[in-house]
Amino acid sequence: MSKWGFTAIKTNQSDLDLVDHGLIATIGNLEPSIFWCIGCGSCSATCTSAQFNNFNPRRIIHAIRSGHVKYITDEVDKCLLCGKCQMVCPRHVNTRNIILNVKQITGQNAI
Amino acid sequence: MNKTIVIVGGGPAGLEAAAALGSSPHHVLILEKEHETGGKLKNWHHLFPNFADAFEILKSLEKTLPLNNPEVKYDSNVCKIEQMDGKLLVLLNKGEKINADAVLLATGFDLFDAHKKEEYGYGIYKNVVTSFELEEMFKIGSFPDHLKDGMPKKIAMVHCVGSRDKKAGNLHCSKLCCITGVKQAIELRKHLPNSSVYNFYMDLRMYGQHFEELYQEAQEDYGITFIRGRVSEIAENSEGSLQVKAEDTLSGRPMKMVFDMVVLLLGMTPASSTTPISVSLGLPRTNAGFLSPLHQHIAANETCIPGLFLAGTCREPLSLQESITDARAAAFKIIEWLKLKDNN
Amino acid sequence: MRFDYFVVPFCFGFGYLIIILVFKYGRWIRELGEGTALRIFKSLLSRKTLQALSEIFLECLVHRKVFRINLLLGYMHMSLALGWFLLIVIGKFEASYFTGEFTNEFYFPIFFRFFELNPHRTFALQFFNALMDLLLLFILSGVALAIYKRFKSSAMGMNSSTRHTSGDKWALALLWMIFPLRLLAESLTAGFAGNGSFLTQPLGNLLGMIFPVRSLATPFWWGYSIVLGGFMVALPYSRYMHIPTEIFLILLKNWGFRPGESISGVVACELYSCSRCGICIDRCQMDPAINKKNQMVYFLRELRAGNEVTQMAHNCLLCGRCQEICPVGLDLTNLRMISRKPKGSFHINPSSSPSIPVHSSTNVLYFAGCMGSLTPGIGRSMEVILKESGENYLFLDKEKSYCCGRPLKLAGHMEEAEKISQNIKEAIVSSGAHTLVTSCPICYKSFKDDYRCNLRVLHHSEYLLEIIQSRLILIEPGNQRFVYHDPCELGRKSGIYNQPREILDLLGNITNVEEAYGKSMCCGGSVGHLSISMDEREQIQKSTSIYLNQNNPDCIATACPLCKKSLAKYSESQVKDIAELVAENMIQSNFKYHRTRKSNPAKVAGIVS
Repeated sequence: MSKWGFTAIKTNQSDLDLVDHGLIATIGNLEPSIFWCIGCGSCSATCTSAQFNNFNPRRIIHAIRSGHVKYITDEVDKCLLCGKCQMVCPRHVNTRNIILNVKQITGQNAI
Repeated sequence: MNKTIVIVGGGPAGLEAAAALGSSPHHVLILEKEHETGGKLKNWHHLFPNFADAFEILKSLEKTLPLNNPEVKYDSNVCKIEQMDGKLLVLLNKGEKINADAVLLATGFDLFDAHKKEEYGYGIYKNVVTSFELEEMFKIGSFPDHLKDGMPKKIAMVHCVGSRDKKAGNLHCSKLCCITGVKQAIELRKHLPNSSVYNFYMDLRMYGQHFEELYQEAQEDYGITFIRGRVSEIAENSEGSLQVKAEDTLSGRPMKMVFDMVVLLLGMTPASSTTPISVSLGLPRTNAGFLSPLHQHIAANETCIPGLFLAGTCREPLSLQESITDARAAAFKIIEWLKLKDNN
Repeated sequence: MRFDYFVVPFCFGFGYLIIILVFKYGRWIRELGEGTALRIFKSLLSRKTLQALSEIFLECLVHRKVFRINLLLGYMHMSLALGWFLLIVIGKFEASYFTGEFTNEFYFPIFFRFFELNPHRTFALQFFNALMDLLLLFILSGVALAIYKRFKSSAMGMNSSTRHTSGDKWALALLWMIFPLRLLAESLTAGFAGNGSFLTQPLGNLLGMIFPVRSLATPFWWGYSIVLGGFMVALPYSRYMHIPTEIFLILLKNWGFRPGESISGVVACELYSCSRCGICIDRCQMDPAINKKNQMVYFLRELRAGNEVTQMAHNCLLCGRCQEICPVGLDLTNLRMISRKPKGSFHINPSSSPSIPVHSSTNVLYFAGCMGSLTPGIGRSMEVILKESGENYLFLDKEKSYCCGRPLKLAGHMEEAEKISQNIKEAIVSSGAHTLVTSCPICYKSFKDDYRCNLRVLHHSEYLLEIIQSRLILIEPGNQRFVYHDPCELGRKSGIYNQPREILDLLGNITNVEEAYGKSMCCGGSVGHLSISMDEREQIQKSTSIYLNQNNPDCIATACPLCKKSLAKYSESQVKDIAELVAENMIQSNFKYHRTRKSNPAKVAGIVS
């Protein structure tokens, strides 16, 4: 019975009108190359961490753009800062610095 | 009044322009750097999107050559062009000089040098080949022995090799490699019915007539798998098979897969043989390095240098049919310009 | 007792300076940690102190390193430093000889010509007199050059010179005024007392013809004392703090104290030892148009002032070109690295570096490094070579990539680097190997300096030279003309310059470029730079590439996968790694036989018994 009724219905649909642009604005200032990402996935393909866990640099950049702050703060702990991601990026996105900045922002004053 | 028109390059654009100029009273001379005409069309087997026979098209383009109209000089590399008294002086590296009233640059393109993407292993692993080499194999009708005794079972097609890649020095899209990838994937499945083919792409640029339909055919009739993820690196196993790493972005997980053969779909870059010409004339280039026309929309075949015209892939990536049409447009513009000069 | 009120400014300044120095140095010694006092006591009367004194003489006084950069620049620094030192010491001897007593009022030698007006009759005193005049002339020539350098630094080999703060400019002005004022004070006194020598006497006589020297002399002695005292008060707050502190730093370093990971102790001493000479500015390859005021000299200035430096700290390739040329010998890259420490929490999820499956009974471990998968030619060549050598080897990161941890360390996260490298350390131990070979200089430095594993760690250029020389593999020489590019982490950071060149000498001919060995350029690929845009990086890659290609070599040889990738893009000639070149020129045996090593190199090195 608890499945039905008029209690608050959780929606699976992401409402892009409600995206919090604060994070992309902050990161965009520190590392403007984040705007160039086309989501090709080379970074995630070559990522050292991603061989062993579900860390995904492409998804992190996407999450920054769509304001999924909680996901980001949990995930960035898996980055080893090896730098392979920016070595392969065809658009010259400095993914390593993006993640480093997220780590430093969330480290100092967790969002 | 008979003028001399020099066409630099005897590829499809050069040949078609010469044919279009054939009916004019002017003397047309093609300077071809190799010892046969045809450009890259010589090396192709079937053309997208309808698998037309490249050889037949080449023959039709070359049909007026035996009549010495146009005249063709082979093994002739142009090292310099100078503006002189309203005409253009063309210098060949053999020392010969030709005084032209108009020059059409139809120098074509170079394919990206796959050695530059070391992480794909071209030149290091023998089972990594380029789209160009694959066409050779289609022409011959068989595959080399080192590829699983001529019967590779699993083949990967890697899109965007040398295109859309700042690390390779080319931000531009080469336009034609996606449809080439789909075409060659289908041809592989036709040649090797027991094979499975996987295409790794960032986007699929099916811009032309019948391209999207061919893509659907590839999926439906030939069972080709399309994975949206750019290949980051390729490694070799002990038996010579190749492990390809990419992210399957649509499912969001990095993946690896072992293949018998990997085909790199090479992008187009401006022909290096054009560099001495553009440098000597001070001809500007686009950001991607192709020759810059006077106006991209309404004067695409003209340049800022009077009497110098452009046709074909030397000015931007174009398909064969676009090159042919472009060559005719350039020919028309040349005739028009020469008439105008006469009247003044 | 010889006294005049004009000595008070000098005495005050001198006393002030001594108190500040005692406090500061005392604090730094305390920061050096437990057992420092004992260590210093033990080292005090040892050979180390003599070494330190020799270094102090050669670098602080003679400025040998600066001479190597430019002769005129070296002379200028030497004349001021050595000149002033000798002026003080010889002045002390002169005063003591004159009075016949060793100790006098401490200001007496400095104002000797004021207090002693009697003309010098003995030969010895005339000699001292002339010597002091000569030293003053020596110093004044330096001051003249220093003034000239402010207008035209390129005349002394420096394209860019430090832009000083106004505080430094005041201190500079005070310093420059000291010796001209001394000259005038002594000359004016010589004008009426006749106690000058070849420089001061003629000048004094000339002045005496125009001015009332007797009454003019005292104000100038006042001026001299005030400027001298003023300079000493300004010194601890200016760049000239380096004068006493560099001496202290040299002593500490020779006694075995090293810069640590926090801004205290030796590091604090280094910050005050920077003379802001600006020689580091020209070496920096970052585009000055984009990176104005980011070079090391400015970074140290900000650090010393206690300002917020995190962004500046990130903005450095850590290539070490500035460090190589620093006349004070400061560990500059370490300063940037330790300033990168994050303020908040920063931890790495251990799932990113899981344990590595390794079977025991391996002799040689080969590690390609994480960049190795993007430059497969290197790993492949090493495998071909290792197979041919018959060595019992294991290619540790052939299937999966592991990170040695150094990129984390370079980003300022030392502890995290330590944590995530556990898996590789365990794999090394369980493999039982006696030698670890890596083709990446970054990993090499990590393994050698930080891992503290009980086996030989070799860069692949060292290893390849060894197996070529012991004829485990045979190579055929060719005619290729090589230019060798020294990777920053291999050359400047690890001191390995010759082994790759010896290999290349066996394979072909090397053409030299001037910026090589310790002066080599950086390829731009550094993982040490955290915030550089790729476009800026490519500028550096391009300029280094063009530089290396200047003599049109057949091939640019290098020994680092990052360098290879960075240079290949813009290079006209091909760029190859040492391993690839060796593999190409290696004679492969037609029949298989197992070649065993004559001796276990680890035994020879004393690691394994």
